[in-house]
Amino acid sequence: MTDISMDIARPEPKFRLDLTSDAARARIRSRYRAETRFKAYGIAALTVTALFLAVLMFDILRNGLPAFWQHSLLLDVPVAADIVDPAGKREAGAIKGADYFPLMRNALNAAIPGIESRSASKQLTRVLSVGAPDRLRDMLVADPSLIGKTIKVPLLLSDDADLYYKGAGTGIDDRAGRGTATPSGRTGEITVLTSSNDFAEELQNIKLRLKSVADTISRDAGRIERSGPDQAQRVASMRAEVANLANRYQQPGNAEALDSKVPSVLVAINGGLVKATRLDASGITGDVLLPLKSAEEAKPGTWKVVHYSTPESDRKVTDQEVAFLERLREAGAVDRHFNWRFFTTGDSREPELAGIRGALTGTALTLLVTLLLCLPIGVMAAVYLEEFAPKNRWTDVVEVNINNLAAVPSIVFGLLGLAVFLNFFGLPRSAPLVGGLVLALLVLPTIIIAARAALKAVPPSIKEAALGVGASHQQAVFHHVLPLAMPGIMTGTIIGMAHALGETAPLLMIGMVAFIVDVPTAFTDAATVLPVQIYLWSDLPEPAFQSKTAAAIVVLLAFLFLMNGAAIWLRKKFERRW
Amino acid sequence: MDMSTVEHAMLTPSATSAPASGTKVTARACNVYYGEKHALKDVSVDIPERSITAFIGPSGCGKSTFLRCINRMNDTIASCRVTGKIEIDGQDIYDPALDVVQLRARVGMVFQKPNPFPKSIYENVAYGPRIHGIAKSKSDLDEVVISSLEKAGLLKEVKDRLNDSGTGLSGGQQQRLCIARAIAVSPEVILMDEPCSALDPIATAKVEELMDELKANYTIIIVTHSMQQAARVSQRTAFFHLGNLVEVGDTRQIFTNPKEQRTQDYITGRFG
Amino acid sequence: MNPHTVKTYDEELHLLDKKIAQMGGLAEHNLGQAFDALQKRDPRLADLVIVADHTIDVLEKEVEELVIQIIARRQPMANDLRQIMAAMRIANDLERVGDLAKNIAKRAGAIADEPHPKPVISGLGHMVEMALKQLKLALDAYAERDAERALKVWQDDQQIDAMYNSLFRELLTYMMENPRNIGISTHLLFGAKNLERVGDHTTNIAETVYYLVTGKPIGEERPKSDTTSQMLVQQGDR
Repeated sequence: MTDISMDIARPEPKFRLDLTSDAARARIRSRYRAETRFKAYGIAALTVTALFLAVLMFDILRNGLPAFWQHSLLLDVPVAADIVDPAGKREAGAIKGADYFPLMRNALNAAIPGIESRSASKQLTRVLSVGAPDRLRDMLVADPSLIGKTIKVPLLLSDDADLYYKGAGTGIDDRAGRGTATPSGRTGEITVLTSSNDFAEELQNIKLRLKSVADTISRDAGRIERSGPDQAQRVASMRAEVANLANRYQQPGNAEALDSKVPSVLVAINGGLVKATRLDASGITGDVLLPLKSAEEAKPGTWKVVHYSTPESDRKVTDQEVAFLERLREAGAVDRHFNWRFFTTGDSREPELAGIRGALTGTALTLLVTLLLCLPIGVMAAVYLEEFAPKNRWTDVVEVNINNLAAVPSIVFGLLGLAVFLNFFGLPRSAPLVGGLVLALLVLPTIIIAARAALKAVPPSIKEAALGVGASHQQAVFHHVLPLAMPGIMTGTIIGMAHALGETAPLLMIGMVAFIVDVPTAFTDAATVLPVQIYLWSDLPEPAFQSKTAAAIVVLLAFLFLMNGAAIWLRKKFERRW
Repeated sequence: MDMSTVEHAMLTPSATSAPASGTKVTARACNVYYGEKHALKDVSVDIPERSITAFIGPSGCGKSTFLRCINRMNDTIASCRVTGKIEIDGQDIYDPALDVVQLRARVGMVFQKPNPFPKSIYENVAYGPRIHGIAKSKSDLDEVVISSLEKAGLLKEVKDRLNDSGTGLSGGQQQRLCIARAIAVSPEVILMDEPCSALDPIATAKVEELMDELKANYTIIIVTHSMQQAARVSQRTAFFHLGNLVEVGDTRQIFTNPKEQRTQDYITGRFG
Repeated sequence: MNPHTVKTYDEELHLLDKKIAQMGGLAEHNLGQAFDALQKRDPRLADLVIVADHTIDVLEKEVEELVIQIIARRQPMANDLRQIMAAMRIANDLERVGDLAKNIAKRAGAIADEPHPKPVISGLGHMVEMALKQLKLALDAYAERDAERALKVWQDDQQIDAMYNSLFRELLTYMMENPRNIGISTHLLFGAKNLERVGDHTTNIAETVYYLVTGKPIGEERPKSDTTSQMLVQQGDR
């Protein structure tokens, strides 16, 4: 229709888009390369992170998971009435207060009969935990009619024995004897002689070791000699030692003593076990660990030479204990079960008795105080600042300081708690109440900031709508804005609480680091919390506690994941798009 | 402001409603400042009762600002300052003795984007009557909700799902729900701030039809960017530019023969 | 006037004006030529006018189409709206003027062989002159958006009416003198009537221009001097 012609000659533009020349193609290619590179960096960064995380998780789980299992001995315990309840009144108090040690000892002696030496029988009772009778005691208190009967009951093993069954002991190998072995007795220190050179191999190993020791000393002596003439006497004594050792290893036939620094050599014969203390090619002298049934000759193949490959000095259990534990395992008395005790008891000096219930309860009480304090205060503060406060210099100052508080190191809050709550207000030390107060201070800025962000995210149109139908400002905020911001506020709160859950430093300052056996029952009881418990355990020397540390970390992480999961779930469930 | 142009207006032969019987809203020398910015300059205007008055003008011309002065929605902005006088039925709404919450119950508002509360349809409409104590019992409240939805022409579409979320409705339905929510508190004046800018033409037509029905009982003031919409729905039109009220008059006159050059340039698309 | 933000809108409006101007020019030309054909008794010239009228019809259709397009696409407001409505009405009037010119040309063909009564022809000539002057003035008023001139055209229409009145009387007398004159006289009478109608259309254009410019209709009743509808055939003048 419009027939106005627009034939204006268009001049060639000065700047033209060029997509076809080589330079242009190179430019495009380099652009794509840059993009690919950037993606690769991102993936690499993620991979490294994931790798670190995987290693961390693997290590923690590897260390921690075994602690969730425990070993007990299932033994027939004859409950002698005169020991448990000498008065015969069947009173719970008396039953509780009785000395169960003899019962335990009797049960063990019944399981491994024939132990005579004091040292051996002491070692036998050391296999059990001091808490071993707990279960039995509980059973008897619950049902006194069991007294006088023999009952099968699990007896808790000591931490070392437990660890032994979890694989922290020694490798054991054996080979059948080639000659006829003749023991000189059934118990005590005996000799076992064989008709062939059954122990030549062991002897040679010892000689080789002597040689290497001699070589080391000789090298050291040479070095000391070169360094100066003033230690001539020491050098001389070292030379004499070398000569002595050389004398020993150069004569292949003569007997050698065994010490705890070499793998143990034992002889299993006639149903008993002898630990060699001295051996030559054709026989040993040693202590009986498990009594022999008889002192008769043993035919080739019916007896065995046994090696404990880890030297005795390198493990927590003695050869005697290994012998007992192996015997008990063979007897089928060892029971592996989930370590409920870990979740039901408080701390203890004995690793096998220590649990995290005290720490968990302490954590729960502390976090409860924290939540009760900082949720209402935080939300109200956020609502006031976001919705009602006049925007002026003062609110700016408040806002900046809230953001600053969120960045203050947590230890500072601990110091504050120490100074204000303990020293000024005189609140009890180590109490969840104080811990909760301190953590509330710590978490409050986080919650205020999260709540303000959540309130800001509610579209102003909702508030306007409420105002538009004649709601007061407060009604608009509390009826409409706050409920819509609640999922965001809850998410922020949970993340803040998770932060508090993992916090250690401020709690150390207010004395929640004490060794506390009892499970706290009130806000003012002495208590500790999970991360502090982890910190405490990680410091202890017993290897079983290392495992407990990792297990407690697993529990802590599980809680953290649970809380963060809850936060994500809340966010997803109530997420609203406008 | 030339008030004489008002005189030869009101020749709407198509007006089925009762003819405007008087002035509902009166503004005299109304100025609005946002901090240093002088957003509305010396506006004086009379808005007739039971009719639709449209405010048109380019963005930032002050028309929404003026609209929000009429129910004191600008109070929520801290830096905002209003001088001059705005009266509804002769009562100064900026009188310190007047309760702003009551004012907003008398002057309802419908916003640019449909903004139903993220609650059920029923709750959306019931909220206003509830906070103002309009309904004494549950059955009264039901009645108010139903009649408001009816008046907003929404009842047929939603009567089977009153408990569904209001945000689940279509845009046009949401906007009519917002209108139902506004009329549930029986306001005398309804302010509409670009009520159709987020709606498609069909939904727009429905809202416009609704406005046409509502003008029999309410005084409606609408801000719109669509001159066609202003021309379609309103009886009177006011043109704002740079904070000034340039021209106000009968809609038929404004769109066929505006007095002011600026009005003419704006409505014919010759600005700048 | 400021240009529109949308430039093609301006172009369309200019095109509309251009087409109106073209139509106006053609209408004037055809009217003049039709009278020439009558005066010179030239049937060939008359045929030319008849053919040329077709162009005006086509232009009117084009204007109409353009107007509809603009309404649909631009939703014109205020003076733009008045302009395109004016264009449509003026195009309509000009088309009618064209038709009337064609009618005169046809009659010129019909009476080419008859002897002409000189005074009547010269009276008719004055009328054509007047009508053309008025039409030109109205079109100028449109082109320049001049309400004053439009008002003048509107007021001056009674002069054409007066001329028509006197011609009417003259022809009546002529017919009464000799019944053989009735044929040619009737043709000439219709020609005069056509010119009077051209004047009316011109007045319409003037009214439209006045509304276009001022936005208001011309207020009072138009002065009319065509009294022929009350005239009777009487022996001699009163």
